[in-house]
Amino acid sequence: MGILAVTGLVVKGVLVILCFFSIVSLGIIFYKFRQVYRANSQSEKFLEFFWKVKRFDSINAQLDRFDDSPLAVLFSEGFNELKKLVEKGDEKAEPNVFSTELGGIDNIARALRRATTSQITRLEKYLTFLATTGATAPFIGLFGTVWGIMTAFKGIGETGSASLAVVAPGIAEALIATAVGLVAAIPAVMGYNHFQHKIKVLIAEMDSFSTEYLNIVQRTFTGKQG
Amino acid sequence: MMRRHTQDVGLGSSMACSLLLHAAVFAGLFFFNSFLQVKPSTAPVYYVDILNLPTEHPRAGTPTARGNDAAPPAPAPDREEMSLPQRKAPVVQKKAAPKEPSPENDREFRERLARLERKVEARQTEAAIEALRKKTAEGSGRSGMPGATGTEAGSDYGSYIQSRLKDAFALTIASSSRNPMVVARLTIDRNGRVIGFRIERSSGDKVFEDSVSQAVDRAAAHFPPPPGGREFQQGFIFKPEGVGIK
Repeated sequence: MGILAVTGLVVKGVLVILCFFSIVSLGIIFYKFRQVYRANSQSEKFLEFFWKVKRFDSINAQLDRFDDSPLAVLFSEGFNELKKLVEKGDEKAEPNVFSTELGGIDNIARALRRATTSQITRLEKYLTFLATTGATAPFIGLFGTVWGIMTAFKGIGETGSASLAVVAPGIAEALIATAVGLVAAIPAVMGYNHFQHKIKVLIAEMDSFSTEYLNIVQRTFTGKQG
Repeated sequence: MMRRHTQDVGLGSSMACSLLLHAAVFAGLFFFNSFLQVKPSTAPVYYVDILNLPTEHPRAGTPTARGNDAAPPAPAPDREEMSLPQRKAPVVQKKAAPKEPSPENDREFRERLARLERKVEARQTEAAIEALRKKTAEGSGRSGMPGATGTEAGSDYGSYIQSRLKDAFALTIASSSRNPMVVARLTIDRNGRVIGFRIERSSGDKVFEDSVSQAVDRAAAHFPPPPGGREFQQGFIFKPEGVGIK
């Protein structure tokens, strides 16, 4: 640790930047871990509940239990849209009927797509920072190392001695920057890849749920109409 | 109609956790390093000259450039060795002896021959002992080597101190100018303690002067008492290339 005290101003600046990157990226990893874990577990519970209850109004009344599930949000958006269309149908004195010719299914599909997009945005929030850290932290560290070695060589030139006692400390100081850059980058890259995979799985689940939801709506309401 | 929104909370607490973790890792590294502080070994290095005879009290030290310039001078040809051909003279006579037919003469001749051989043998032994004694008294000709007595106005002791300073200076050297130079005079009392350290000349590089001072402090811990129980004083030239005797 004493070696940090004798590093140059530029290397110190690089180390401060890398520490900031490391702290923020690790914070994001903790946050994302919790968010994605809860989204996964609550989605599983919601699907189980959804297929068990089968009544949309009962499901809608219990949605508070699945706060972090993106599927619950999709259901809520689709149900709201469906409710609007049904109320519109009531005004025409034809309860529980809406016409596919008027684009009722399309409306619900659009609502579901919009909800899916907003959920993807929510889940992918801050992941950019992890990607940036993973990509740039080693280079920032390398910059610090190059600068430190330049300073060390300058010192050697001024001293006129190239003994190991003169050369080694400067290079050791310089290499710290690369080490800290790698320490910041490695967890960030690992976290980014892990969360990307988890989010892809959630997106696939949302797509299949949307399709299933539209099928149910079309089967139920259009069937009545027919 | 109420639109449903999920609320993501916990970013602040995650950041706090991350900060605490970093602080813990930093503190851990700090304490780990302080426990594993490796101190450089300052044990003196001993050189043994296997080509010369060991003495009763070998001296430690690094061979100086003066000592390594050339091999020890070849021993001067011993005059006593020249008496060897005399040994052959009786042999010649011995060959001629059988020509004497008298048994008395023959016995007398044998006795003379034996005496002569003993005499020559005694001379050779004495010459060899004398050569060894002379060699031991003179030393090997290398400072800091076995056999050095350090009596030549402290010249060997000075080389030894120079080598110790050179070793210590390699660990402390630092400078802030291009070609720094310091000439310092050291005074060592009869117990091997540094009682005087004075910078006689300096290029003005304060950092270099400090490194010289540190080198002297570091090396002074291992100075032996000067030979002859007398105070020792010597000027040394400190340069980035090494330490020289003034």
